[in-house]
Amino acid sequence: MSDRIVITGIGIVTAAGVGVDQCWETFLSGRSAVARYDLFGPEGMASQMAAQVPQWPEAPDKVGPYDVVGRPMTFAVAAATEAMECAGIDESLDIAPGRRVVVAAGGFDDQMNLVLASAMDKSTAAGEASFEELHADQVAEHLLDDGVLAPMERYSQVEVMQALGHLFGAHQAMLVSTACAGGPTAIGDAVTLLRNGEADVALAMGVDTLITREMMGGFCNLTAMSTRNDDPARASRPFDADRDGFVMGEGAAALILELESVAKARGATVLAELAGVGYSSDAYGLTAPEPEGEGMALSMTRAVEDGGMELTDITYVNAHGTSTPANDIAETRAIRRAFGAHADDLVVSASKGAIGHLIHGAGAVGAVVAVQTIVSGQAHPTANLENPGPGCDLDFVVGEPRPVEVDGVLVNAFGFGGQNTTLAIRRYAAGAR
Amino acid sequence: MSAPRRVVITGLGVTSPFGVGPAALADGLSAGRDGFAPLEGRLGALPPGVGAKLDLPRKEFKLWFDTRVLRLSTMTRQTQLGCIAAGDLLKSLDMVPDGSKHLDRGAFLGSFIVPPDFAKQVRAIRILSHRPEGEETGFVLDDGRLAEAMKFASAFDFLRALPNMPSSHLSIQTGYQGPACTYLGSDASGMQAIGMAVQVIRSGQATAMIAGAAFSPFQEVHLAWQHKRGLWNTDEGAGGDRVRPYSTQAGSLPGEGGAVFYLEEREMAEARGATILAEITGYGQRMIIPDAAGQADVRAEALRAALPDGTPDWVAPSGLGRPDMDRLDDEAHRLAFGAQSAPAVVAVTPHIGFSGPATGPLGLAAALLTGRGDATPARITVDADPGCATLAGGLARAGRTGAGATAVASSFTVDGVHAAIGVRIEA
Repeated sequence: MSDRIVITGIGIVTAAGVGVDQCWETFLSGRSAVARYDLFGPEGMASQMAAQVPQWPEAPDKVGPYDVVGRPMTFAVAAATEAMECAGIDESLDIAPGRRVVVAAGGFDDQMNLVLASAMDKSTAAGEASFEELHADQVAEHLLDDGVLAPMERYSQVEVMQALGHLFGAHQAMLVSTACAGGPTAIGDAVTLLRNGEADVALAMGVDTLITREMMGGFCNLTAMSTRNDDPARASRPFDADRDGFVMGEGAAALILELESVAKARGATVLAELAGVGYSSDAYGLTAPEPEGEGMALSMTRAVEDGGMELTDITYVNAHGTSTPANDIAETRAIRRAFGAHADDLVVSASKGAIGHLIHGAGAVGAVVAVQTIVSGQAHPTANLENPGPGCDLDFVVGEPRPVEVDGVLVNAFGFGGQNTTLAIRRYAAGAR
Repeated sequence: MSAPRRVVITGLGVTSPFGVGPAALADGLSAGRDGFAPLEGRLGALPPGVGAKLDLPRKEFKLWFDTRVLRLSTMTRQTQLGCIAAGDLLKSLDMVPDGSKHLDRGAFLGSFIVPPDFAKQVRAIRILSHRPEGEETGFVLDDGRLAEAMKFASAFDFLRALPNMPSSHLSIQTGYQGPACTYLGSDASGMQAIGMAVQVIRSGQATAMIAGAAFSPFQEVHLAWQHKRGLWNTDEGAGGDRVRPYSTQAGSLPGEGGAVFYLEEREMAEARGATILAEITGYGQRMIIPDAAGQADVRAEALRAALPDGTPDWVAPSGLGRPDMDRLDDEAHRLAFGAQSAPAVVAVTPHIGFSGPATGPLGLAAALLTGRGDATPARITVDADPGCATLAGGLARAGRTGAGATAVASSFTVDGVHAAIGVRIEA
C-alpha cells in the first residue's frame, strides 16, 4: 500500500492577521478585515476597498542571495517560515535530503508599471518631452538605461520561487497558475509528485498581492468587484442576498506535506491527512462559471474519490464563496449536484467574508482553515452572511462559530476560465484505513 | 504494488516561424533554413533587431480553432500560438473538437506573463506619472488620474493577460474537463508542463493530456530584459548564422512558436489502435540558485532522470548561446551520459530562435521528428567553444533513427530551473 500524504505544518499571512493563531481568531470572530485601502489612492476605482495585510510580517531580510523585499516575497517567505517551524523542518538537509519540492501558485506584482514609469523618467530627464507628451517609441528607447529594468529581476516570479526553494532546501521548484484555484493546484501538484516518488517532503503554497492599480482596475472593468464603498466591512458577503461582487484580498498560505512514513520516522506531529485532490475544467467560458456547477461538482467528487472516501465522509466544506452573484449560486448548485441528499447534512462556510479574495492564495487559505477546523472542532462563521440569497440554500455557519465533529473536509477553489481544484482533507488516524 | 502507468506520445502539434504543423518544422530544419527577419518599429529599434515570427494572417486562425468561441481579443499572442498548435495536433489525430466534453483528458501549457500591448500601457502610465515639483528627475504616480488612465485598459486587455489563460483557452477549445494548468516562472515551464502531464497520467488523474508550451517574446520590455540578461547576439546582419550555440560566437535571437504533444496511457493508446510515436522514458526537474556550486551536477541529474538507462542517440539541448550556460550544458551532458558519449545534437535555436518556455518543447518536437526519420536536420559545423566540444561536435553528427532510438530534450535556464524529458522512438 502506498504512503499516505500528511500535513505537518501550516502558515498564513492575511488581512485577518499574521500567523495561524491570529488569523484563526479573526475567522472565529466573524469579523471582516476589509477596509478602504491605502496602497495607492483608490479614488479612481469603482471598488475602493480591499483586505490589506495591516501588519508587516516578520521575515528574514535575506534568503540565500535573495533580498526579501516587496509584498509577494515577504508574505510568501513569512507564511513558508511559519509552516516550516510548525513542521519542525528547516533548510538543513537532515530530513529528506535531495527529496524536497516547492510548488507555489501566484501572479505577484505589477513590476511592468515601475519599468515604464522609470523609462519615462529617463526620457523626460533627457529633455525629450514632458510626461504628458511622451509616446511609446521614446519610452522604448530608454528601456535599456541604467536601473530601468531592475524591477524585472527584483520582483520576478522566479526569484520568489527560488527564494522559497532555498528556504526549504528544495531540489525541485515549480510555479503554477489556475488563477483563483492556484493554491490548491499547487498543493495538488505537490501531492502528485509525492505519490509518484519524485519527492518525500513538499512546501506547497499560494500567494498573491494584487491590490495594485492594474489588477484592481482590470477586475473593476470586468464588473466583478463589490462597489459597496460606503460600507467596506460589509462588502464581502459570500452567499448573502445583498452580495454584489468580490473584494480583493492579499496574503499567502503554506502547507508542509510529507509522506506519512517520513513524518512518522522523524516523529513529526501530524495535523491532518491530505487525502485527495480533484481537478476539473468547466470547458465553458472565460469569465463566468458554468451556471449549473457541472465542472465544480466534478472537482468535488473527484477529490473524494481520489481520497478513497465516500461522499458521506465529508461533513464540512470550506467553500470558494467569492461573494459574486454568479459564483455563489453555481457553487451551491455544484455542492448539491455532487452530494445529492447529503448536501443538506454538510456544514459550509466561506473565508472570503473575512479576508476578501486572495486569488492564487485563496484556496491555500482554505486548506489552512480546513486543518484548523479539524484540529479545533469548530467551523468559522461566514463573515457578513446575514440572509442567504436565492439559490444559496445550504447549511451555512452564520454569526457564531459552530462546534463540529469533522472527519472529512472539502476545500473548493474555482478559477477564472473555469479551472477548478478541490482538496479532500481528513482527520489523521494512524494506521491503515 | 502495480507498475507505474506507461505514457506515450501519439500526436504532435507545432507552430513555428516555418509555419503550422510538424512537417513545416521538419522541412525547415532539414533544408537548413532559418526564419529570421529584421523586426520593425519599436521592436526593431531594440536589440537584437532581428527575430523569427510566424507569418500567419489572423483570418486564418479559424482553421485551427473556433474564433467565435475563443475570440482573438481575449488572447495574447502566446495563447493564440498554443491554440493553433493544439488545433493542428487534434486535426492530425482526427479529433477536431465538435463541442463534446471529455472528462478524462486535460491540458497543461507552459508560458510566461508578457503584457500584450506596450503602447496602451505607456498611454496609461503617461497619464498617471509626473515629475515631482522642483525635482529634475524622478516620478510620482498620481492616483487622482487613475480613472482617466483606466480608460486605456479594456476588460479584455486585462483578461487575456491573466497567467492561467493559455491553458484555460485550451480546455475551452478542446472540451477537456480534466486537469488544466499553466506553468510559469521560468523558461523551463514548458518542459515542466509536459513533465507534470506525464505525472498526472501516471497517477491516474487523466488518461490523456495535451501538454507543451507556446510563447512569443516580441514585446518591448521582454526583449529589453532578455538583452540585459545577455541572451541576444547583437552583431550586424539579417540573422542566419547569428545563432551558433556551443561555438565561439555568443548570443541568440528571439523567435516565437509552440509545440504541444498528445500524451496518453500506453494501454489506452494501444486499445484505440493509435500510432505511438514514442514512449516517455523519464522526466527530471531540478532547481539550484544560479550562483551556487554544483550547477552542472543538478542539470546532469535532470538528464539522468529523463533517460535512466543508456545514452541518448539524440539530444535537444537548450542551445542558449550564452557561453556560461552552453558550457554548463556541455558539462552536464558529459556527467550524465559519460565523457565518451557522442550524441547527435538537434538544436532549434539556430533555425527558429529562442522562444523562452516554448524552446524546450520545440526541441523535443524536433528530436522526435528526427529520431523517427521524419526530419533530417542539416548538420552544422561550428568553431567550437573549447568548453562545449561534446555538444558542438554533436551539431555536425547524425544519430541513429527508427524504433528504439532515444532522445533527450532539456531546458536549462539562466534562472536555475532545469527540466529534461526523454523519449524512446517507436516504429
